[in-house]
Amino acid sequence: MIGVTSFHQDPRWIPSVRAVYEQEFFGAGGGPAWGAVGVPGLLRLGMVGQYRAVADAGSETKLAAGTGAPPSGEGGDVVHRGDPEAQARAAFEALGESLASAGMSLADIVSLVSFHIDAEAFEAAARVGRELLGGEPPAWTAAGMTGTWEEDQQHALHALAAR
Amino acid sequence: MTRTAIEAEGLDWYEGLPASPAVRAGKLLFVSGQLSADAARRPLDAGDVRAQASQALDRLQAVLEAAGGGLDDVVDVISFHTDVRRVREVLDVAAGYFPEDPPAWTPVASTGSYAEGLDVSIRAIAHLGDAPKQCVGPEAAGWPEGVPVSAACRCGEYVFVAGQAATAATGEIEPRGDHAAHARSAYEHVGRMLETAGASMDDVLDICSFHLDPRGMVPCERVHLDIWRDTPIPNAPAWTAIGVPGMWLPGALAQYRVIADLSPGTRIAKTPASIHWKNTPNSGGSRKEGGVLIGIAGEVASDAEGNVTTPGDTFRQARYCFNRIREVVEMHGGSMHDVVEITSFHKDHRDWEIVMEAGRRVLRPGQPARLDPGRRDRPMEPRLPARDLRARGRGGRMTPPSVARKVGELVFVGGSGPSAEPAAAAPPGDVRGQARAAFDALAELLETAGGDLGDVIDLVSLHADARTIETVFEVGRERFGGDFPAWTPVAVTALPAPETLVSITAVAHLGDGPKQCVVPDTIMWWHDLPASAGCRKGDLLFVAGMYGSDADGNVNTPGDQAGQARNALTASRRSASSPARASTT
Repeated sequence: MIGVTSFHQDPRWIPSVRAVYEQEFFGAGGGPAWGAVGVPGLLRLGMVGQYRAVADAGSETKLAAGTGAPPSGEGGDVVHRGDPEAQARAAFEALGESLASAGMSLADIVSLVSFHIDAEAFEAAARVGRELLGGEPPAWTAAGMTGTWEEDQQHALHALAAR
Repeated sequence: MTRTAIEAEGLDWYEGLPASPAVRAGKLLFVSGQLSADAARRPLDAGDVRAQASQALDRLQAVLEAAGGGLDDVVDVISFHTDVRRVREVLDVAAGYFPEDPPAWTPVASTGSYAEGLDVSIRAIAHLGDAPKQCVGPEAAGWPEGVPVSAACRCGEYVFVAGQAATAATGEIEPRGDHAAHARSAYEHVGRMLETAGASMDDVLDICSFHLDPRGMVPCERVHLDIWRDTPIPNAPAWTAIGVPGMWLPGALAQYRVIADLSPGTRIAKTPASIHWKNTPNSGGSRKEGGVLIGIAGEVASDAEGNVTTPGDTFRQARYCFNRIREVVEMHGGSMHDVVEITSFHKDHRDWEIVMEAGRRVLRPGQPARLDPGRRDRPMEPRLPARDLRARGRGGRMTPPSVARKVGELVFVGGSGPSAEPAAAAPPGDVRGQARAAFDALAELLETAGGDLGDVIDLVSLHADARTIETVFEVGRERFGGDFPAWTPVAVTALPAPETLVSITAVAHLGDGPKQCVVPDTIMWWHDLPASAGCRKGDLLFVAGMYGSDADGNVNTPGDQAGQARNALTASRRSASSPARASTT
């Protein structure tokens, strides 16, 4: 597996899932790129989480999955609180770092699914993305979320890169 | 005090529900959430929020007139919107109904009402006494002018303060991104509004705050405890905090709406021992010594220590909440029959029927006025221009609003980009039509790249409402026929264009090898879905979003996030390693 995306009915539950994910399945840090977002609904009543995965068994086209969200700075607070544009830049930087661990960069992104808290965040992500993704944009799908890892993070980026 | 349930022509849809269109108690009339639906509770005017607003306001007017009042008597409104980008349209329609002295109005986002397609719901309180209505204009709260919204309304002994936010004198929300500062600022505005209306914080019975992220309630709770630190617990007001997916004022993180009662005497708080916040300055329910109105805090299914009761069991949780309400009213010397209005908030729309059934068992005929909004949608500004991010790349071609990239034998197709306009072929309010248009666009892009829908191995569909997933599945079933891709459907709080109900992103593999579609035996119910659990072509494998479920599709470990995660991740592993239920394309 190279990437996992999980959807949660309440973002406050993400930490309890992290324990299962890291301790019972993938280990801390070394597993697939993982992105978790809060959403308002899943297929059936009572379902509280959903887990999607991408696996590459050595395909001819090299594929990598990456995720990015604004990180926490010194002191533990999420950087650039309340500033969607600066947070978008931080999220794309984090995504770049995530892809770099697989030998890829932002320029290699072919598919991007981005989740945002509000309209300012949508538009800010579009502005920053236009600047950082280069001349050949990826297939980009944007949607609203109820939250991601931590409160104050306005963007969650989930990407596939290919070469 | 007499309490009368009001019936009105054209509101037959309340029949069989534990709810009335309106209830009059003394001078106050409580009107439940009015919306655009026919007698069979089917939504009308899907996709047309202006028409829906007119229908809702016409019904509100009919109820008021049946009770001997009119729109002029409305002092308080809370409206719930599936997309806050369209609040202004609703207010524009409402301006024709409230030409002067509009009510204190709090618009908030919601994930929707009892049925999909209901984009606005308007609940109201009217004062039918002789006292003059005094309104504080929206400019006092720094809100936009020209909207039929008062920042506060006083009528007789009651003051209604519309949802206050951290608005600066310039009209901007300041500071950005700080929940605690927003709560403090909102309370300052509330204090000013009360003072203007001749009241004080000592008269506050009921506070209802709406928060953009439920985690934002934590710093706001600290502010609440600080603001009310000098208030003895037996004299505290009732506070209800709700997480919502959007605010009509861009940048706002919290909104505080307040009801105050100028009746004589001190505020009396009653909090049963079964309520876990009993030792804080936040009551189960509060009223003035000489007053008749009780503000009851939002009751939740948690025990005396704050542990969630009966996780995953909506019926029992609803019954538990009703019983807490009963306890509070009885401590004030009343009974369930005295409850005149209930607003209930649910995590999932599909809880609605279950909560109604619980309500039927608890509430007697002549029911309270009631509204059941879900929660939804982050604030989306109407002023943002749609921008075109579309560009033509080497590897592929784009058809609005999608874009595709081709790398080797792989084709990646996007749905609506962050600045996308709705596709011209997408009929508003028609999810089936929009799904067909989305699949048409996907098929066209794949054809241009030299493939077809049969090459799709992964698909993620993003839905404005979880209840539309089945409809999109039906369209997908027609289009794919069989050999379904790994398909992950998920509801989202918003899509880039407000009109868009579904957005589809996909990955296709154009190679010659076989497409292998897998559904492990442990989740046999997936055979009823137009989706593989795992779909492989060449060396690339996609696993669809797995849930915590048994073989028949029943939810495993209800209410247990970690348990469902364990179950779902195990299913992911199985789907990735199962022998293929094979097929070749």
